[in-house]
Amino acid sequence: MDFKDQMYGFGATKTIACLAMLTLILCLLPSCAGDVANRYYGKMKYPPKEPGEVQILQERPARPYEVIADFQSRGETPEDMRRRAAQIGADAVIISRLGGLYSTGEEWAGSDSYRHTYSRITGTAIKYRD
Amino acid sequence: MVVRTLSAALVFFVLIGFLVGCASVDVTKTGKGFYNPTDPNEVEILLTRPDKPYEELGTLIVQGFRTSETAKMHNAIRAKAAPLGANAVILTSQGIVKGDFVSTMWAQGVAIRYKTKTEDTQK
Repeated sequence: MDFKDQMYGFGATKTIACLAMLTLILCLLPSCAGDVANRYYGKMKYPPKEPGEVQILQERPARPYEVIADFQSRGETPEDMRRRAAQIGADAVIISRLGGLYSTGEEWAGSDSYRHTYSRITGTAIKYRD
Repeated sequence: MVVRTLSAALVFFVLIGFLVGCASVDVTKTGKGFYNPTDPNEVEILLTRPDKPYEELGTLIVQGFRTSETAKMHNAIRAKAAPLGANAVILTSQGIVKGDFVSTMWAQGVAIRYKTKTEDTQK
């Protein structure tokens, strides 16, 4: 079998391997955002801030606040949510990681070994009232 | 050589996926604001609308469970609806995808949160 035959023989395998690599590379790219959908509720516009000035929260803060926007997308990170919140002058953004994989081996509703995976991330941009 | 190695790795991961058993849940937020996550053990699975006032938080689509694993699928829905702050999920449709060797089940639902007076002022 010469080199050409070998290449034909591996044609299908090569295609699969290349597609797998392409998918992996695409998913590793930082700008792999998809289904970006935002809503703005504020009655007024606020000046933009530096991303470092915007808090990233995982739960509701104890201080009173007003929700000014909701963001959601696929393939983004909490830092991306923070950048988007800074653009609209939010004080903080509350992050949720939603969906993802689930092991069919789980037996308890309270355990999810694939908790770290998510198919969508959401951010709720807030302004503190005080 | 590289192609062979990558192909072997791909086949390995696909086989592992079949052996370990992996389903997926996609959640789309439709509500406004944020609620702290709830306890997945307390999330109700409903097939009809509840009488209590509620707010819709988002939609869920779960797929990849064997047809004999309905209860496990419900637990997956509970686990993935809880981070949204859901008290219950109303299942709106379910179906079976017939495969050559294994048939799998899917379901779609709406995650809801029961309304309380204190939460109405601040979401």
